[in-house]
Amino acid sequence: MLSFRGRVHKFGDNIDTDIITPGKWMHEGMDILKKHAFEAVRPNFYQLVKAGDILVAGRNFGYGSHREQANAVLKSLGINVIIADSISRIYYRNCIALGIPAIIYPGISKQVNEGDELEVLLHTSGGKIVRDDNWSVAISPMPETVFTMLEQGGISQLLKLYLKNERSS
Amino acid sequence: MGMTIAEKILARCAQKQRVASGEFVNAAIDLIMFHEALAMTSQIIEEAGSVEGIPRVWDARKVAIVLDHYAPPPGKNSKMANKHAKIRAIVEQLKLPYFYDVNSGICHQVLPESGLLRPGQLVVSPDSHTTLYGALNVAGTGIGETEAALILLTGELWFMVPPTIRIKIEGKLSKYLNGKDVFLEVARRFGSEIAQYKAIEWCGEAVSDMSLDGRMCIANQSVELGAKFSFFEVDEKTLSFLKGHGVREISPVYPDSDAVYEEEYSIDATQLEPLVACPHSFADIKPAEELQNVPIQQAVIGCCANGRMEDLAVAAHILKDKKVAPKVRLIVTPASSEVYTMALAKGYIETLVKAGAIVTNSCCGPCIGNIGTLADEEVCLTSTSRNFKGRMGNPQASIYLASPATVAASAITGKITDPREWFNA
Amino acid sequence: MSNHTATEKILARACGKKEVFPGEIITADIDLVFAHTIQRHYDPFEAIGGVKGVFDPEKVVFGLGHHLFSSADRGTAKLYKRVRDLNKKYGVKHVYDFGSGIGHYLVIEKGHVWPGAVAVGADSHTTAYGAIGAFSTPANYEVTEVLLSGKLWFKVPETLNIRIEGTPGRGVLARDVAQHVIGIMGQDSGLWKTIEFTGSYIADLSIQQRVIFSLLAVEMGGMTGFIPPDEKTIEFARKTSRNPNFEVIVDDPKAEFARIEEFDITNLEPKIACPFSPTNTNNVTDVLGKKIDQAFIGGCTGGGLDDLHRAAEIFDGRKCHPDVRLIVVPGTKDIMAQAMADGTMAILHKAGASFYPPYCGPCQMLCVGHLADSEVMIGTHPRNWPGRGGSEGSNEVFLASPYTVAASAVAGEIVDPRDYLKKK
Repeated sequence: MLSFRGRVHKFGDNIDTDIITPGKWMHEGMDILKKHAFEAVRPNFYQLVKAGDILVAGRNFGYGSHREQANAVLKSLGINVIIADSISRIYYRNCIALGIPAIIYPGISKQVNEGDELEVLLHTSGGKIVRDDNWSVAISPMPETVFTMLEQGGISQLLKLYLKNERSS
Repeated sequence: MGMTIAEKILARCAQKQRVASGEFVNAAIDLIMFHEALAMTSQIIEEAGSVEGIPRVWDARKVAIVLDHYAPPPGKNSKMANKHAKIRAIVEQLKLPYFYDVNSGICHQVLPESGLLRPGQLVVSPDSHTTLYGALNVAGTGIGETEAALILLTGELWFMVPPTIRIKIEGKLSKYLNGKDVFLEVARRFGSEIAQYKAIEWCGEAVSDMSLDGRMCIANQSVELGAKFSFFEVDEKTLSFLKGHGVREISPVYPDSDAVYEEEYSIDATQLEPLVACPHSFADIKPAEELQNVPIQQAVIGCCANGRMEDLAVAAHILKDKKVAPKVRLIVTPASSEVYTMALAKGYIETLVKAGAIVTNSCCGPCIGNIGTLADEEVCLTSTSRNFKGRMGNPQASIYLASPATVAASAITGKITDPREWFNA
Repeated sequence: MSNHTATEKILARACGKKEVFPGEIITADIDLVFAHTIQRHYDPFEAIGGVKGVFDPEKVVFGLGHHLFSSADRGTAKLYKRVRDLNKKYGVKHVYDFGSGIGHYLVIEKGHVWPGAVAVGADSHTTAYGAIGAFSTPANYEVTEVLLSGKLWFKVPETLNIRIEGTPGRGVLARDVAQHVIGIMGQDSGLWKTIEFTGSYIADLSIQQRVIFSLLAVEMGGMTGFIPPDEKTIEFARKTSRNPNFEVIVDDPKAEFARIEEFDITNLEPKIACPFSPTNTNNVTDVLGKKIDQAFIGGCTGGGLDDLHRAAEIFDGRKCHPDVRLIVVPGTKDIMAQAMADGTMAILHKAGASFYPPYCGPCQMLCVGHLADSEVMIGTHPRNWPGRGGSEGSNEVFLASPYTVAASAVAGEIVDPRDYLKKK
């Protein structure tokens, strides 16, 4: 079981990868890139987030290019979980690869508000999202492959194991 | 119950008799392509504890590298140049045979031309427009750099078998229209999430009539519909393209006649008209005719979505003996060096330069703002792949997106223009 | 008064005097002002306020596309948008925007200078226009003032006459000869002087080849490079000049030169400038085998049609070495169109060249083509100072003729181009 608790930052529909990480700052390193994350729609977002926060978005979150920095930047901003009405495929994959729980829950953007405190529980047998006022929704079971990767903290941890085993064998 | 193209390919790669949509499989990768992203993948492997960088790859003949995003390295510092140097060193150290340096062109055109792609393959790349390879009946899809690291070492990756939708384009497409207009019509009619996490199979008379250039445009742009794969069936045109590029063993993958589709859509090609996607997404698409009063400062034709011969031919046709409007900068970027050479031979480049176009080398520059960065409040009409906010280097600018014909006609008038009256008899 | 140099006579005309003498301070009327980094001049315009416009829109040429064929970041895009707006505000007509080409070539090609004209430009290579018999010299911050007043003061220069005679060996081009001359003369031989190139070798050159000499005069410290107008110049100027009434001004028969240097270039070998100075000239055979990563054909000393033809001669049927990035940048849009029409571009492209739109190329790494640390480049452009290759001084850059650059691109290392020329 993985569990998280944090405050919600809410975004609208179709937040693309150029909004999350403007191309111009992509190669300037994470410290600079994170200051420009979401700047086209929410300037100074990096000053508004704190570690452990949760990002909630509308439809088609993260659509656009494959750029992994668009996922990594959330980690570096301290975002722990992403929940959206729908998430673009590559963005979703990248979240899992980097060990960031990404949850597709159609309609979530209508049900939670900016600033809500949420608790998120994840497991292969299912999970749920809970708010302090007793509102809660159930989320579908997570495939084993995906859950393991999240539990390990992403592919880089798997890589470490892999490289270690390779050396010792 | 039969299987779709996606199911057949993933079943083969997962060494299973059959797979069904929704199932998670581990699949063997037939080819992985990298552009500059290889530097980041290498860094990920280094950070995971391999101080000497990528220790080895699972199969050097299944790795292709194309330097195109920053070709040649732009700007006033050497950061990107050093990244290129690092990639060249990796290529040499791992003895990777398929390396295409900065003079080759854009990966998504270079790879089809390379002869490395064959129908039925599963090909991945840390680049979202990898769906383009579906034009050659290849299961091409984008992944992340971290996933790519795992593949380099193991040759495998997890996939969810996607449901497939079928989109039929019936009737004949008029000469005024491009694959781009077909894609824009699908997005306009059915929304830009119609294929979210799904595979698309394209069919119908207009698709059969369409050149490979047109199919590549549609397959490329399919990722903007959310698609994981975007398949076209193999026909004479596909075979002649493949053979022309040295591909010998060709085993096309066709869907079974009783394959199960999640949804089937149909569009009448004869009803289509030139379309334009308005800033900053594919959510607002209008006929070019309705936007005729929007002035533009920059026009772009080319890159991996629309930088092929057919696109340059139509641009040259419209711009022949005409001039680009004085307040407009028209940037043209052929998709690859091969395309550039053919366009030179046909005289298209000469026509475009004489009309006042800036013809760049083949690279991703204009699409991502390394070339032709927009100033605040400027408006650009482009036939590249995306119109997102900030895509061309400036979130204060507006990007409209349309076919090469629409862009060419608009470059002459200085405002968005329906191209139909600009075709010569 | 029958002993004046052409420079003295041009400047006398321009300041309205019967004659002027070296060392005299005069104020001349300017026939052409060229600038590329235009904001430098507009900033003071804006700061002064109330400026209505430039002194004469016909005499002002802005080469917006000189250093860049495109904006590569948002700051630059913004800057150029501002400059475009200000061009309108201040009534500047002759603007060569992104993709047009190198200012020096354009000014000549489009007839903005003519024999006998006085031209200044905010670019050190503004010595170029002397190739068609103009007095042309770099000015820097002063250009702002000239844009408003149309006048500039000069100290009338002495003239250093370099006479070049003889026929060089096979495989030796104008660049080799110019490289030889500036190498022997050194970086400061022309300080405060007009460097006037004469002799039968110069007389045989095309206008575009002559530009290599007038332009490289600045690398010898020259105030201007000058080639006395002859029949070729006059024919060229009749076709191009925007001023139909230009006055052909040449040296008086007994003109007094400060110094005369004579060069016999018979049997001269191919030359190359080694790091880190354009005047560090050696024989190509002294540096054979030096590995290169990038080869560049273009720049204001190698982007002419003749240069592209010479490169194509070598590349015809050959491929660029796989470890070398070959970059070809035609000097102007017209040169590019001609090279396409006559098949030159097709040959170069087949050889593996990347073409960039016309601009000054990776001579100064202002737009694209940056080198990685310690990479080596060979090119036909004018300069190879430390740091000019991009990264902090570590890049070695060699300068040579289009033959040598092309042959070295094929070999992957510096080679003698004579081994690559077709036997005649």
